[in-house]
Amino acid sequence: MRCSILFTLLLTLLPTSLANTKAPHTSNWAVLVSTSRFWFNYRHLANVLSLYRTVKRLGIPDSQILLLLPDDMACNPRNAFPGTVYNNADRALDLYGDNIEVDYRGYDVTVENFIRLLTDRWPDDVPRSKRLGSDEGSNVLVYMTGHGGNEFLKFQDSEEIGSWDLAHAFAQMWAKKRYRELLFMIDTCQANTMFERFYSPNIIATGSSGIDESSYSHHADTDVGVAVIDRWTYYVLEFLETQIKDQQSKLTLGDLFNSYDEEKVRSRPGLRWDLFDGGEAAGRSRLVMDFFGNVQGVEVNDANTFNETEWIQGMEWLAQMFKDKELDQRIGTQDSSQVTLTKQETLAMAHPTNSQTHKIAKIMKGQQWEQKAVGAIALFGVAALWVGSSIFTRT
Amino acid sequence: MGLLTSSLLALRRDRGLIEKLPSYVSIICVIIGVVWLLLLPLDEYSRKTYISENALLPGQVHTYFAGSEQKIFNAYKHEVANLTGQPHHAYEQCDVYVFMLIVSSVAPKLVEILRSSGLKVATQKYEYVVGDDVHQGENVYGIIHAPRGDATEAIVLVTAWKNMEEQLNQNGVALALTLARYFKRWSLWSKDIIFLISADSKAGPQAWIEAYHDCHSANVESLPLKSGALEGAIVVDNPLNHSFESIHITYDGINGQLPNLDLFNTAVSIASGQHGIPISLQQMWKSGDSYRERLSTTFRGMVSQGFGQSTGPHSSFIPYHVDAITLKTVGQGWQDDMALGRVVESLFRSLNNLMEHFHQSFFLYLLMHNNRFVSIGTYLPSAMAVAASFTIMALALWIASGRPPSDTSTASPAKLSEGRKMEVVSTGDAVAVVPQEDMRVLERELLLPVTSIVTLHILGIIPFYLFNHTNQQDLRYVFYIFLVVNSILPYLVASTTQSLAAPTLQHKLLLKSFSFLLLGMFLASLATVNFSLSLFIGLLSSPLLLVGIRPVSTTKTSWPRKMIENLVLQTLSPPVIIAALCWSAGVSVESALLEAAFGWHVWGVWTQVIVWGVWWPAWLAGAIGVSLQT
Amino acid sequence: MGRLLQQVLLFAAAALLRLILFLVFPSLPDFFTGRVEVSTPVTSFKRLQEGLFLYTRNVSPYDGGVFYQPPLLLTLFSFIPDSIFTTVTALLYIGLDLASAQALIEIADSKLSGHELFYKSPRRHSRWGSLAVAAAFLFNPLTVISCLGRPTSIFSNYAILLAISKAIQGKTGNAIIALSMAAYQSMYPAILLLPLLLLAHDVSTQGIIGTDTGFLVRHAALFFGAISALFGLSYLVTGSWEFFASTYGNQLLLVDLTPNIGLWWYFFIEMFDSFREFFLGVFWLHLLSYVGGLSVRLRTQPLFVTITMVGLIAVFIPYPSISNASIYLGLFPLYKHIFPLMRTTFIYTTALLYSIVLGPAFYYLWIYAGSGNANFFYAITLVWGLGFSLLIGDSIWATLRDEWEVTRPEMKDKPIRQI
Repeated sequence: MRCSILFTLLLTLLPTSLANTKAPHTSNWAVLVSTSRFWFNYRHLANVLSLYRTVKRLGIPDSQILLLLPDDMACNPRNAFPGTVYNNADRALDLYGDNIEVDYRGYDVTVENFIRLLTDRWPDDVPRSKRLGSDEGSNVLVYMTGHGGNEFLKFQDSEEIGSWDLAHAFAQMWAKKRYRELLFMIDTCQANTMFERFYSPNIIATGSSGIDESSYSHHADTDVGVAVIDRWTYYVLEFLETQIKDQQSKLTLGDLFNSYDEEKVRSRPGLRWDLFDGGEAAGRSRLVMDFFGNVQGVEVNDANTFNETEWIQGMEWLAQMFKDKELDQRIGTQDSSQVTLTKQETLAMAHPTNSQTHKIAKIMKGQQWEQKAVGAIALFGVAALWVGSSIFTRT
Repeated sequence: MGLLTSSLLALRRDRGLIEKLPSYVSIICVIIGVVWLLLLPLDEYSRKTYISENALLPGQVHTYFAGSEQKIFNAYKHEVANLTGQPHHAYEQCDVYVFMLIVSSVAPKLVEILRSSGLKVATQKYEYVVGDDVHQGENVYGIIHAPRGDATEAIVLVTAWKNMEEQLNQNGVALALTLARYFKRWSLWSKDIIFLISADSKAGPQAWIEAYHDCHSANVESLPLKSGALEGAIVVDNPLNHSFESIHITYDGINGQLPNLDLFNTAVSIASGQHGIPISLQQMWKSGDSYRERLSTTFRGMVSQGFGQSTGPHSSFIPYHVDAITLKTVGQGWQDDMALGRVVESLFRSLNNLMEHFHQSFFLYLLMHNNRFVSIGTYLPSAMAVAASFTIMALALWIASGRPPSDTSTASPAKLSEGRKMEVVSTGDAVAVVPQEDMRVLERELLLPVTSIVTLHILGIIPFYLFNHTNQQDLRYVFYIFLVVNSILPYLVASTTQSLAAPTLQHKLLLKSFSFLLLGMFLASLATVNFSLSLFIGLLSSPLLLVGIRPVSTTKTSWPRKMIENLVLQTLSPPVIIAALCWSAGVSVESALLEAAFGWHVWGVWTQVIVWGVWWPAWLAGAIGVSLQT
Repeated sequence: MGRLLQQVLLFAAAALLRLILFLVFPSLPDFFTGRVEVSTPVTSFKRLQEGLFLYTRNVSPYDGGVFYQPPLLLTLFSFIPDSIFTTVTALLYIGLDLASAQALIEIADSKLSGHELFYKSPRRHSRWGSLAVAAAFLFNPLTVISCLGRPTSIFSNYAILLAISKAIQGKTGNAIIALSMAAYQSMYPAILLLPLLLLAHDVSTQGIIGTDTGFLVRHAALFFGAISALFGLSYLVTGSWEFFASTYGNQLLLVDLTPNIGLWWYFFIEMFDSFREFFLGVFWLHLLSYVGGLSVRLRTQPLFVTITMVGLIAVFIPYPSISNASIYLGLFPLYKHIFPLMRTTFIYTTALLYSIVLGPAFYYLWIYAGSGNANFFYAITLVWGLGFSLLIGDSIWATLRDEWEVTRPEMKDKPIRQI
């Protein structure tokens, strides 16, 4: 009997798990993270903003990009060109120009928030714009840049994320069906160590430098006075900007990775395919647009998937909300009528009586004699204790 | 273990060795200290300088101070020249009163110029009285408020009207005025910039920085205008009326405190790296990088640090935890004033990048070349070894003072063991037979030695007070009288003590022991604050380790030896050393003492306290010990 | 009569020295008041003034987390008119020092050190005169500096000395009340209750062998009764019980981590919060654990146990200052007869002297010059603690050796070695 139940359970589970290997690609999401603040880390914010600009150009809408910027370089007083961020000394392109939606900024960029973001462990009141709404049909691009070391990446000079943290977060994402395929890119010192611990499927990872290697900046702008972009990001962007002309580009990740030139990057960029379904061959054949662009065409929902009860529940909830709002308004009007009725009371509240005043009044010397009297009594008590104890001894 | 203890016991038995050993060990310590110092300039022990603070980004900005600014600079140069009332070369001859007149007309003009550049300007009068010397003047300063900053931090550009050598800092002031006008136009400052034109290089900056931190005395005016916390200060000293060859960086602060190494490195990297201007330091005008030159630079740096006096307007800033350096132009070359201006511009852009105080790099270091240094961990053992030698000797004398005196100090061990009560001592598996008296400990009479040592240290107040409160004209006589009195003082004290208290050998040993203990202790502590002063005093006192040390023998010291000991002591007495130093530096004793008194009263230099409160009592105790007959 | 004159001269000299320092260098008291070596959060005179300011203005002195001292002190100081506050407090503290010296003289006069009721040291005749002991206390630089810095620990120091002297004189009730006042003021003197009771017991039973448990219980009850009465009076003065949490709570839980010469602050700055309670317990138990052991092992010498506990307190309480050290160093010369038995005098004297000089130097490097950090200063407080505990350990060793010679007279003055 029990066996048969188990068997049926297995039967029902089997097809779903098989089907789970790849859901159809339905959407693209990008999580772009800079982890460092301070003026001299201008380039990290420029890195991220450059990538942000590129994925937007290639079609991922702002609502599906999560941009994490810990500092505001455009408005830093040290910025010789207020309100701008450039990624090149020619200053041809203002990355901060217009339409920048920063989802997490300043001290909101923390390890905790980043992991919550990936795994979607949020309280209910966190708005949609701050959530990663990906599902099993989403290809997710995660780009990180900052200062790191062997298997860690610093967040804001105060904390760090380890390679295991990241690996577990991705594993949880996979378990929660929050991605279909994931491209992880990281530009930091010893970047490749950050993805060594990944263990969940369908991840392609690439980093700027191997263990014990630094990732260098590409060049500095002598008027801004700081380095404006990192080398690896610079060459990735060069490829994306010059080779991917439009959203119809058929260039593959293989092409992108082949464009890495260790001479130019001055470090050994790393790649990881083994987690990907189909390995390196399949990974290399993925289109760049699969991660950097949006899904072409329109997905029509299967009529069967339409859930009537959910829809009805939703409508009922809406109706309830309207009702509540109406009620609120009525209470509000009642309140105002009450105010007019008890004006004297409110006046009394605004001008509290004298007895309440001295809690907020300027500290004044109090009733000295009263305090002194109590004090004298107390000290007299101590003296009495002393004298009394002398008597105690004699007996 | 057994072997060790038995050999220790054997050591204990051999009086000749145990009496001499501590002397040897402590002298070896002193030698180690000196050799250690001599090794430092080698490549293996020193390091190349590097910038620790990422935010500084030295020399990454393009500097625009050129072209049209040149004309403005020339105009200001004329203005400044007009203010002096006479051409530069004649100026030096004018006396103080004329100078004061000039200065009193200078301040309003400078105020006017700075104000016309759009700065908020204020002035501050000050007056310091040292002995009967009056140092007064008026500081002018202006503030550029950072257009997009929050006014919580500021950096300072200081130009003194007169530099340390009392030359007119004509081009420096003109450059500051030009830079004020130039910086005012930039919008990228994150910190306020303060332009301070102090009336002189010694009292003026001190008065200003005191008042900025509300630590000033009544004779110094409060500042009507302030900004945020000072993060750094750059002093520009350009008295030359021609193009210069290199920049000389002065970095020692009051009491030998140093600015953060990052500031120095930034200046070097900007001046020599970005602008190709050679850098020199510690008056080593031709800065080579050989062993000799490194050693010489280090030594000069240590001397300067040891004296603890101000070496430029920047020195006054450092005790207030404001890192500061002086850039002084030297030599005849092809670098013009605009190049100096660009260096300052670039330096200020770097300082502007700072997020907080300089804190990443070293505060305790010795520089041996403009890109080579040793940090405290490497050089400290040298002073500590010297300080330790005194502690070792103190310990040895303490042990010796607890031994009963024996009449045969040179007796052989075999002879010793005859006819005495023997003691069987066994430690683990080791058994030794030791004369009983060797194991006994005499009760120590501490009162006389302790009182004497405390009194000697308190006596230090007398010379300290004399040299800091005597009028200028009497100073010389006071010094020479002190010199003479000081040379006979040990004999006087010794004979008086002999007639009054009849000190025993133990007293003498304890006196020396406590004196060494205190000296070693003070030197060890001082080494962490002012390494150089500690090392120099330690080395000058090290002969004390050798003279008059014959703990147990009652045989009289031979008279030639006694003569030599006395001679050595007399030559190494603090006043003699002071006189010798003045003679070798070619300054009069009077002016040196006056400078030192100024240092104590105005800058709060502690060197004199150390000299009269640590070194002199130790010397006196040593000298008394030699002349004390027991 | 001669001795009285000597004592008057001694006290006059000590008072004069302090007066001169107070008057000639008016900035000196404020300087020392601000030093961490002198003023701790629970004894600081500045904080007392802050509390006083709030108290006289009818604001709870415990608001704002600055003031951690018991209320009756405030009452006492509130009677001093503002206009002569500085002068009167200076005189008060000088008076306290002299009174402490007087108590010390009384303790020394009893010749009980080395000659307790159940124990006669073979060396008991080697001792310093009472005035010499008092002089060593009064002219100890640490005592003088403490007096200038005016920490309120001077009050509990005096109360402790008074308790010991009263106990020796057989005025047990007074002794217990004095101790309860000390414990009320700074809590840690409660640790001394057991040895002090034993001391009082030995004195008052006058040589009757055996321990009168009733005596101990009665007087312990008196102690707790007295301290409860003091709490009651405090409640009367402040009108709330919040002083409990601020005064004793702070000492128990180490809320204020201002550096001091003790061993706690740095440790608890570095501590992970989850271990805090555990280690607070460990640190307090460590201090408490000495009482039982010493009281049992040295049952015949309760005065020595009391004094040794005073020394251990100076090292191991959460907020020690040099005034805690000065009272121990004042009591220590009573045991002149064990000096020859102590073995490493030079080492810990040197350690203590070094830490006295290096401590301020490193504090300067850390706080003012900015070229050092907290580790520098903490290292020196460790050396200080080490030197002090070596001193105490050596004194215990010497006492045990002294005791051993009572049973083995033939071994007197012979070197002893561990075999």
